[in-house]
Amino acid sequence: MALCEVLGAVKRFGGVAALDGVNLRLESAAITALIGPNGSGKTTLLNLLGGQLRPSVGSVRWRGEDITRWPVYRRCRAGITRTFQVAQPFLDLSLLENVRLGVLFGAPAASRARHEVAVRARQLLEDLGLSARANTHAGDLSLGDLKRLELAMALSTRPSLLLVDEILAAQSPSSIESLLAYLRALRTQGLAILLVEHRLQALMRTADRVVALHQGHIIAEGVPEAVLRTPAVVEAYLGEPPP
Amino acid sequence: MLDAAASGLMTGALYALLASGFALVLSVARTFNLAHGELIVLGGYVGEYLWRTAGLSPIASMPFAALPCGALVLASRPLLRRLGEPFVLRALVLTFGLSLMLQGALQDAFSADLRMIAVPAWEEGIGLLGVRLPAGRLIVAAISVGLLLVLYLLWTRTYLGKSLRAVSQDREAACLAGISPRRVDGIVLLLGGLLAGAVGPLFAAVHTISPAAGLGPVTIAIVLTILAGIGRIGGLLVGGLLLGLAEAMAGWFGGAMWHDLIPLGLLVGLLRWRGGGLGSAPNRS
Amino acid sequence: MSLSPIPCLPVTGPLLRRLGGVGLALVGLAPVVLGLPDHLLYLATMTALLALLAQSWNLPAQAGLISFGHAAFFGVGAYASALLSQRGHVSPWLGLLAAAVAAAITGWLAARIAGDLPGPAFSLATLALAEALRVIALHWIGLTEGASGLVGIPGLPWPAIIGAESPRTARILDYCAAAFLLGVLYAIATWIRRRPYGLALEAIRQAEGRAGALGVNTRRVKASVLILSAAFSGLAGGLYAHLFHWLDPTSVFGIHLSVMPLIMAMFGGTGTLLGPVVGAAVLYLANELVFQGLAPGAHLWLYGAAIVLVMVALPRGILGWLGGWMERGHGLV
Repeated sequence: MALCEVLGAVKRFGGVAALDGVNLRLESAAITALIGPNGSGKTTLLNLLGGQLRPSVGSVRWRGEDITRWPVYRRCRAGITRTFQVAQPFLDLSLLENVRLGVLFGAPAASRARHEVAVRARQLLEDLGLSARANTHAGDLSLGDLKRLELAMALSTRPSLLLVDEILAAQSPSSIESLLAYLRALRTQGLAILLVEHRLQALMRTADRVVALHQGHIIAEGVPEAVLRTPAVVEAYLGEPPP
Repeated sequence: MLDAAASGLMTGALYALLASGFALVLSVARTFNLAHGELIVLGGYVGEYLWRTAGLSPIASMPFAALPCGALVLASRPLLRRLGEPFVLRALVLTFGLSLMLQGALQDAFSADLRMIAVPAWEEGIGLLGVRLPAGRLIVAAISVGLLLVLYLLWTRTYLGKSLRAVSQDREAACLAGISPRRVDGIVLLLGGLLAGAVGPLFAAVHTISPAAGLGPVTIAIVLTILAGIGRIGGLLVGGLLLGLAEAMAGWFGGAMWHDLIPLGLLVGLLRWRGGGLGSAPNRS
Repeated sequence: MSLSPIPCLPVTGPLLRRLGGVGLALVGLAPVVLGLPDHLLYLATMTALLALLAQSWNLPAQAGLISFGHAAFFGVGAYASALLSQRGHVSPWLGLLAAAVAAAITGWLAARIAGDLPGPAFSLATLALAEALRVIALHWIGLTEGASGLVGIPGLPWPAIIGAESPRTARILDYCAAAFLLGVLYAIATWIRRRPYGLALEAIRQAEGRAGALGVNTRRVKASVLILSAAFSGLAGGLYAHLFHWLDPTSVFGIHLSVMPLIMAMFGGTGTLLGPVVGAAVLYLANELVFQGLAPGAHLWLYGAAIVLVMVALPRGILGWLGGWMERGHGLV
């Protein structure tokens, strides 16, 4: 049984179908990359999984259960969590408090013992290289650090499925490396990760599987090397068939 | 009952005019002017004063009533400019405070008793298409429709109207097209104030006014603006007529309480139905 | 998404925090200890009552819910307690309990109707709700006597043991009741601040969608804070009924009762715990003592000017501004 499945998802906005019949399977301990040009429906798919949107047609299943109607907070507590492409930290709160929130509310069977919460929050900040600024306001961070904070916040809820939305933007090359290594380490711990990314090179070494989306359809699926060479994928990105 | 319905329709036309200034300011300058009702009441007081001392008909006093209201709105512009984000909510609270200040000033200047412009000729009943109406309602409705028509032409046929429409749709794009949103804001705020003041005497001719009477008109203005959708003048008239009719029928069948509850209930209902669009207005550039 | 117009500052520093609770208790006891003359005692009681209302208004505000209709809860509480004790011949103490319950139900209703609406829409919806209740109270003469109001509402029955039924003692005890409720609410607010619940309120205010995605049941949190706030506002209303022995739709559902807590809390500083109390004290006492001789409209003018001042120049209110000043100046607090 797959950890998470999207079945026949269609999402219409007015007359336009952002997603037109998408099927997706996500397994534990695997990194799946989701690629596609702008407007292909990547964010919509992420929103369907996260619960920010409901599909017009189709369903989302989690460990075999139909969660299509579940509100956002319930999915989080069940183990699905995400980062946001436009980082949405709590600007007036410190980094520590930003991370504490998820530990307190989102983790399944959360332990509220003060000491444990603080330890876990600090650990997360340290893992992502932010512990030096634990007490600064989130509003004072650089864009790259904001993305790291987003990841820390997402992980604070002890997810089983992590949806990552373009976290490599505005990061230095070394930072990209460390982030990808971190994601690989999370995979080893059993986490399922759906990675939405534009930096295709980075995906080659990290993703187990790549799914290519174009105009609401999945046009290719498979190992990175194969998908990235598929003519349809190249054409979708560049607008013309490969030579 | 038909008389009541017809009267309600006539009142509805006035409602639409009453809401027009508010709707303009909201759609173009993204400003919820909660003081709009008090401005109308101020206009009403000016009209009442001119009627009492100079026998000036409400229609003739409209320009005079418009002026102080326009001036007040212009005076409040520097305050509005100092507000940061989130602008919509802050402007709401600020204009709320301004409305209180205006209400207090009205109470001191004019005392709290109820007043009305009672034009004798307007009390006479007129038979029209089988219903009897006070002449005043008919006149007020006719003027309202006329003014709305002028506004519509302004909005759709003039360069100014085009600028207003542009800014209401996309401030940045309008800026790129050479229109200054800030200047347009000032113009539309002034226009909204003038309209509110001008409606005042008409309003005072069919309703009693008092310093606290501003809440009713502003509620109606909000209801009609949401109902019509931001930026549609024609919708305001249709909405106004419907509201006037609904109120009249509620009053006829249910009594005064239901008459008063209609705009409030509609407001809540509309906020729920279209609530998403209110608070998430795009940032002012 | 709820966006507050005020950047919320956490209570400034441990020193002020400790001062806050103790200071409030000291100030609260003063009128009893000092044996104030009657009219000052009256002022103190009203200040405590308004502070109670303002403090309860401040709770949902911390989640970004800026209510323009707290008169709804106040009025429901006032009428509930008055009707039960006057017509039902029930002890006013039970009436107060009923006031809290009835107001809490109204708070639940408000959450159902308006809880999901974004900032300005929520504010307008609460405004409409309060107005609607006023209109209903005005016209449902069978229940509320309409514009004539309810008269002869009994005062709070203090046991004869405490004060030999002297009216002055009763008034002192009335003050104590108001001050006590304020103290309870203050303690609750302080306790909330330190708990995850308080963090959730802040998170909802700053980025509601994000809070939901981190596991916060935003709908339930918003509803619960509205219910809590409404209950205490209802208690304030019930207290009002038993202090004044008379009420009518305008005096308990009027818009001034929605305006005052908003202005007082914002003026004092919504991001602070003491802000609403300070704001209530400053504005009400200034109104009564300093600006006494002014025409009635001037008082409205003052309240309006206060809120305009806050929006334009003092977004964090007095305490927030002071707190910022102290932090800059001393680096201690």
